[in-house]
Amino acid sequence: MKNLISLFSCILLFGCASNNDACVSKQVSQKPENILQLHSKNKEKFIALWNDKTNFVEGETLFKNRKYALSNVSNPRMELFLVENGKSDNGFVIVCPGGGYCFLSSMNEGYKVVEKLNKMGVSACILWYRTSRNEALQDAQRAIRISRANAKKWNINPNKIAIMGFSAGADLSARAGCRFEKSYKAVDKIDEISARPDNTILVYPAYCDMPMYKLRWIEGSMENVSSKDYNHDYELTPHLTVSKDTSPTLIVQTQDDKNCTNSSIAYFLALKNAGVDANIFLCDKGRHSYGMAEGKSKLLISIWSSVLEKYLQVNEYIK
Amino acid sequence: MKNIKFYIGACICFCASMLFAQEQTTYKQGEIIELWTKDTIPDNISAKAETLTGKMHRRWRRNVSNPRLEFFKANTGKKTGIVIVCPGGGYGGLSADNEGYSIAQWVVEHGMNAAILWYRVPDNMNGALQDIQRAIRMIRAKADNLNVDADKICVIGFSAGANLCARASTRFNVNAYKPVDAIDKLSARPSHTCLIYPAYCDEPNYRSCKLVGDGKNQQYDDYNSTYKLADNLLVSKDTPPAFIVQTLADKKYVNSSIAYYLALKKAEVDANLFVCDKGPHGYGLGYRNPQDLVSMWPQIFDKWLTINKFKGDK
Repeated sequence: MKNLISLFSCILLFGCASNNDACVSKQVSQKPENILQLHSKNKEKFIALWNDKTNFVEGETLFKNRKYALSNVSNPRMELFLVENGKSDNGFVIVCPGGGYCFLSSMNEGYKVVEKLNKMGVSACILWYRTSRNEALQDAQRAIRISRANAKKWNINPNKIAIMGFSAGADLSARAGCRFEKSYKAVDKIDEISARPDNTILVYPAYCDMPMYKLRWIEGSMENVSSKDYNHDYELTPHLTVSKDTSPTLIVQTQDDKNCTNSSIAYFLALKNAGVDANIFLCDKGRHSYGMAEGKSKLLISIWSSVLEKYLQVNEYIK
Repeated sequence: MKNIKFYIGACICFCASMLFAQEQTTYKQGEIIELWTKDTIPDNISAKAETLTGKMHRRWRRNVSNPRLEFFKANTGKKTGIVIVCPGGGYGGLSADNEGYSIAQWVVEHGMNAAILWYRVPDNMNGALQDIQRAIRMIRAKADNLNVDADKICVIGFSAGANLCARASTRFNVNAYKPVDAIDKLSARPSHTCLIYPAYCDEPNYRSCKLVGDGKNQQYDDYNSTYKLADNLLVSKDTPPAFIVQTLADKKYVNSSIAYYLALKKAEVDANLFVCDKGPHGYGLGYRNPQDLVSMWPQIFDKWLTINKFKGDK
């Protein structure tokens, strides 16, 4: 009996290990632990961005006790999901979960995303960034540099590093895509490498238009935006310094994401204005927080992962 | 002597094979549905003979004074919606294959009824609008006979054909012609609109059209801020839901798609926008530019039609 159990466990483990990409989100969601417990148990899977801490998740919390809402990240890190397919110049995608810069939405905008990317044949990582706006940008820039520095080791193309974010994570990605000034003092040689992402992918981005930015970050309100002129005011926030050097972008959004819709339009029109290669897929319905939209097959937005795959193919992230 | 016979034989074989090959790749002809009679057609201009010329897959239809629908039945046996296809050509001619036959064929392959609208050209914008209003009413009148779900009429247009679809979608309450019979009691409102690289939908591009203004170059106060809708497009909350496709590279016309989208957003009409970076004007189904993201638009259009119950599934 014991032998049978061992055999069965081995088969299960083997099945999961060899089909790593398909099992990630299932493994995470079936575990009884919360995201903090999960991370502290698997320290070796993570790359600390700045320095190794012995108390890995010290000071970090769950937002409102939600199992997958990681908050107060103190040891920013990347969790790697490399594809073992032997193609040495496929691209790499850094995934930034959303959560309003209050927490990181680890399942819908983290594990499920990297699983989908791996299925497409693209290596990826989840960026567990610090949820303060300035520090988040430092973490994003550092992660891009670390990815480039490890290109050979990870078997990826250092000129195909994309940053992809959801909601606040998309705001972070947009900032990484247009702010190339050094956001921190160099700590080592890695910081000599460029922090410019080759592409940015923004999914229901937040805070990119002035009314929403002002309401949240200047007035400090968590209320819904009521733009004075919701249908004409597509003013970009001044902290997004779009220029012709801004990274080529894919934006995904829906018309009914009332609070955030104008962010996507403001950013897209600014990219058009600057002559940047921009793409937008704006559907009628979907609201917010749907991640890869797999549960939304009755809505057009559910096809967006096919748009992502084609985007990654035409931009040579997938050969 | 032997050599000549050989070469003549080879030539004959070659020509035969070319003919055979051409026949294999020609488009199926549809069933013609007349829109008017000689007595009822309003505002006819052209009297020249109609032509269909050019290489297969790139043919142009010109001088249409007998506007009509060419109907292609869905082959699923179900009562499906219909997609009415309006080719482009600057209102001067009709891109018959690239934006006509190939599109209708795609629609049927994806399980729906199709009809190409051969609207009046050249240079008869009013006539074209009369034709599309009449066509939509005609489809409704014949819906049972054609096994068409009259609640699902999507107009799809390319370039000037897309402008025509936008006009049909926003001017259905304004009769473009005096009623000629009972068919004109029926609604001329499409249920859905699909615009592929639409033209003349933003005010500066519209004024630059030689049939509208004086044909001068489009004048923008600010090319990257002026998304003013052409004033002949009466967008309201009753405007049909839309799917709009375009590329930033199509510099002359891209503002049309943005203007139409923003107007729909303002009117709270369900709209879907797919604007990509690269891709020229005139790619039709996009089979010739698979390296451009925009070439996947038919896949998205298919999903949109499916969700909107065009395929006769409950």
